[in-house]
Amino acid sequence: MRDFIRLGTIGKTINQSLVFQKALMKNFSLSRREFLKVAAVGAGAAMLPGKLLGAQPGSLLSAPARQKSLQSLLLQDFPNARRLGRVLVGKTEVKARPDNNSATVADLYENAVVPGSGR
Amino acid sequence: VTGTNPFRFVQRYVETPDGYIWSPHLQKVQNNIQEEILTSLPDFAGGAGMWVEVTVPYVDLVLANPPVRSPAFQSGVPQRLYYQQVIWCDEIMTDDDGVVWYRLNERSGSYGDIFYAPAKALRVITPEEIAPINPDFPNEEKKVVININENVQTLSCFEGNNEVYFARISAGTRSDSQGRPAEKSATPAGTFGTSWKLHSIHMSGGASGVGWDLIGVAWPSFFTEPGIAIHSTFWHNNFGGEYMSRGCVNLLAEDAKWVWRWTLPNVSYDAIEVRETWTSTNRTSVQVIEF
Repeated sequence: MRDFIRLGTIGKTINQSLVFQKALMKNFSLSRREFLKVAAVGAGAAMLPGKLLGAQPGSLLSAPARQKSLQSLLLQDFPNARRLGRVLVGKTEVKARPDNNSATVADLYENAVVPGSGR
Repeated sequence: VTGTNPFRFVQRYVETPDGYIWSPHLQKVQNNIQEEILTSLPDFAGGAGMWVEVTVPYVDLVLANPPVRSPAFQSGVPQRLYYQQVIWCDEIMTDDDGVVWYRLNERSGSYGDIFYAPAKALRVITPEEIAPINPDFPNEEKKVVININENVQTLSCFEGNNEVYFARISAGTRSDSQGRPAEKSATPAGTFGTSWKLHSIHMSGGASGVGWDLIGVAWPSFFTEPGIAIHSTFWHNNFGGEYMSRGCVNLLAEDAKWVWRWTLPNVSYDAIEVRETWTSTNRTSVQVIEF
């Protein structure tokens, strides 16, 4: 609970940052461990813009670990495949056959990234 | 693979390990993490900077200059760039840990938002790859022909009578959601010319709540005075036979880039934009045919 309160406080100070947006998005579900990680990175992100604006190369920022975490948050681990597809609509159906009338085997949501397995 | 989707133009599906997805619902992307990253900006007459293109499915951004200004981002749209979007980088930062960040600052149409993104997600566009295509061919014999109807929407580039390029497009819708005629969103028929070109632009328009506000739209070639452009599209993949736009001509990024390179006026690497008068001869003809 204390960590929730911490994140809420941080959120108010970084309300323009992506990390904060993610933490607030209802569909961005976080485990408690992830939640704490975002909170920690969020603190770094809160300082990032201002520091980056005036900083010289090599003179940045907070703990290196936070930087690495921030980069990994911004840059997702996508499937390792030569051909990928990004879902462009709110929800799309994965069909059993290439036929809209065939059975739906799964739903995918916007910005899901899937590997192509076709020939 | 070819499949069946009744009453829709595109009949292709993408095969995935779990099943088949109607291809207009997917953007074909790659995940090319960049290994070679610049740590200093190239210099041009107009100052240091470079065009960069997203090479991963998407990358989230850090706002460098709060508060956020763009209406879309203010409304909660993620601050994010998608595969093949193009944007100007005006600063490179390396942090204590060796992580390189590109500062991204739109040069046209911006609301003023400036972002940082991990350099690993962005490829530097070279001057060579955006050089004019076949510039020696007489411009007066070049023309872009856009064919539009409810079932077929295509673009062809002609040098004389030779078709040298073909692409599927999506044009502006001719009716609103209730089926009533919608002249404002229809791609106009007639003969025009590519008069205003940029590498990338922040496009916004329409009414609040139902308008659009898009960062980093690549390779726009405007050909009518009200602002109708041929440009790349990263938000849908439905080309060839369905109206999808509010008037512009939507293409895949590689198609829009080819048309941009082939038409006049030429745009140098570091130019923000090139505008010709709407009667200039330094434009390439665009014929929009509704048939």
